[in-house]
Amino acid sequence: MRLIVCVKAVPDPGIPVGAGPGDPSWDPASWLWDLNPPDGAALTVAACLRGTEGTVTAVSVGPHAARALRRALAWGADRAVLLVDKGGLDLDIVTAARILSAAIGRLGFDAVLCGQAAVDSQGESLPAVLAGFLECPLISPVVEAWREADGLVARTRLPRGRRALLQPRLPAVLAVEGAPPQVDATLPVYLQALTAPLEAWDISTLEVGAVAPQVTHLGLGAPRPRPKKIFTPDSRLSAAERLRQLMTGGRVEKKTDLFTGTAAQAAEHLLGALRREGSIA
Amino acid sequence: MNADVVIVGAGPAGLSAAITLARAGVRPLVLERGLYPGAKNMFGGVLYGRALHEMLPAFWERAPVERRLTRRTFTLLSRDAAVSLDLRSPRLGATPDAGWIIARSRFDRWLGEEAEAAGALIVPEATVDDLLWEGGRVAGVRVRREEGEVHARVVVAADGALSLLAQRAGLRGPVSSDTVALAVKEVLHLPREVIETRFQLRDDEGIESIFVGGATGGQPGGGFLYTLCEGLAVGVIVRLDALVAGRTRPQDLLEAFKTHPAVAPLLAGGTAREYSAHLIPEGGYAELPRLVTDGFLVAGDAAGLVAVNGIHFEGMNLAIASGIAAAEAILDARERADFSAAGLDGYGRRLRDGFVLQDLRRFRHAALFLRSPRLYREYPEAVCDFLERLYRPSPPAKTGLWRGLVGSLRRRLSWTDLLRDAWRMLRSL
Ligand SMILES: Cc1cc2nc3c(=O)[nH]c(=O)nc-3n(C[C@H](O)[C@H](O)[C@H](O)COP(=O)(O)OP(=O)(O)OC[C@H]3O[C@@H](n4cnc5c(N)ncnc54)[C@H](O)[C@@H]3O)c2cc1C
Repeated sequence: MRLIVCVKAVPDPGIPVGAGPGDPSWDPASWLWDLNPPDGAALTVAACLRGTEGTVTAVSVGPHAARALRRALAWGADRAVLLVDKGGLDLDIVTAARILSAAIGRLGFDAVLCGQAAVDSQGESLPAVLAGFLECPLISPVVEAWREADGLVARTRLPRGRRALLQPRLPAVLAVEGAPPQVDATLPVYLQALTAPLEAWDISTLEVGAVAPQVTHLGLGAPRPRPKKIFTPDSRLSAAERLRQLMTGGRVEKKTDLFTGTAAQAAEHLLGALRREGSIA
Repeated sequence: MNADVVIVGAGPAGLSAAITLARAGVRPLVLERGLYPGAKNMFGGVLYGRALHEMLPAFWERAPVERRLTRRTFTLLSRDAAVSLDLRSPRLGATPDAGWIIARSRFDRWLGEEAEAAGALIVPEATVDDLLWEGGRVAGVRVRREEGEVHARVVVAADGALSLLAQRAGLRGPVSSDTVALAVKEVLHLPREVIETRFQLRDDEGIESIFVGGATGGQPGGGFLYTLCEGLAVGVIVRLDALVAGRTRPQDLLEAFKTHPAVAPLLAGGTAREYSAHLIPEGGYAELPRLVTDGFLVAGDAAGLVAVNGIHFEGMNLAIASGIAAAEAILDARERADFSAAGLDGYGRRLRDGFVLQDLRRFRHAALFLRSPRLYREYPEAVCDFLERLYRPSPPAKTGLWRGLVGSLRRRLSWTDLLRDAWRMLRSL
């Protein structure tokens, strides 16, 4: 089975807190770009489907993808293809999917696996758009998949934790959700991945026509502060009481019973109170 | 797995060794536990350029440096007053000796790229847990991954202040709390224009400010402040045993330092961007470990190669020079195919002949002098008190200069303490 895994490079979350576009520490070229974690889950599923005679090829488009592709090699890909855009464009999802589909068409495939979402943009639509370009069925979100005699079977997640078993006509696109593999590569495999050559394909050779950004990034804002619920006192109370409640933030004192006396007397009172409450018989 | 040379740690020591070896045609394997070289590293601080310039000429033209050091201040703080020495000179910033204020995460990553370009293989996310032994000699390392054994003819431990590997190799014992200091640091963001007006800087000029006394609430150590391109690095360094004995939390000391009346205005308006902590070996010459054993060398902070003398603080340039010396000794040993301790002996000789061990030796008595708790409490208080009295207008009639100074000191210190400290200071210089 010829498996393709599309991987995305996402920025390491260790960018200085509070930095934003226009801020000098906002320099994407200097960030550490690494594999989108759900794409790691897609690699794990691909490894299950691969069997002995299959191949897994990782493909990525975008300017910072080298490290993500090496990570894919460490996590089971046999081959890595970097789609290089000489213009270094910031691609929207449809353009990225168009480029990927052209490369995948050239590679030949039985199934394409993607992470179900990209953690940097919260984007979840690439697998669907890609399936559209490839004219393939899409299964999403896949939690597990395995080979069956004449194809593959995928388990998907439904609302409320239910699961469905689906068998697509091949070739198909699977959008996988989950986390990267728990067990890291062995040292020899890891070193191999660090030193293996990455194949670089210039996207101008892919016959996708002119590639230009379709969406212009205008800015990035801080999250809108969430409205905070403020306690409003009951209008039927006296002004003094309302004022008191506002001053204390509307906290209602806990009702407490204090049992005094010797230890034996206090215990007796406590048991009595619990009995009256019906907590003990 | 087999490798000719394994270097553990992609800090300045490890990377300098890697560049020197790779240029001579030996492709070292550099094992680094962080996501990339520098990911786990922090310092104040200033990189003094000459040692690196000798390996990478005019590196400052390509490297990510923040500012050039052109102004240094040294301030004694009492509880609420301050006395400063302020040096500005065109010669301070003259290359190649200039000091460069850098951010380690960016700088080390760049140095790593230089090492890769020279031919070294840097392996991030590879934590070394142990050494491999063969017939009583070090024969490689064990990486925290499946099938993680790497056999090597020689291993360089450049794994920083705690150096687990130097301990495993039997070159030194566990780090003791009276020979290391703990540093905590914050990076505050401030616009470039604010920094330049506040500290009277132009273009790439930068300032180092060292504070002693009230900076650490009287604990042995100091506070520091460096101007970055667009921000400030501010922190405190305190000896670990004093922190433990005083049950002080370092973050509380940093907060107190930041709010000292002489420091707070310098930081006004800054927003916190990073927070980090690191150990510094301060044992000096007396605590130097053995530097080699069969198949094994130790360099940089791992060998305790940090020069501290009260006003100066240098570690990066010693780490770089020791990394280069280690690599050169390995190249010699390789020619003779002898990686035993005797074969690697050139390492110690190079360090002794160069500035690294000469500086450490020169300031070998500083550790004892700097240990005196009076330096951090009574003396700063006395100096501030003396100058306040000196500048006090009459009436009342003034006391003489000498009597005033002695009076300010004697109100706080006995003659024995004064004589003992004077003697220790003279000896440590
Ligand atoms: C707050 C502070 C201020 C300082 N100011 C200055 C200054 O102004 N000027 C100056 O010259 N020096 C200064 N220093 C000292 C300087 O930072 C050090 O001397 C220098 O970094 C030592 O370099 P190194 O390569 O030996 O060790 P490090 O820089 O500590 O590098 C060690 C590397 O080894 C890696 N490592 C550790 N253990 C393992 C393992 N088991 N497996 C794999 N990798 C491992 C680490 O991740 C790290 O990358 C300062 C230090 C501090 C903490």
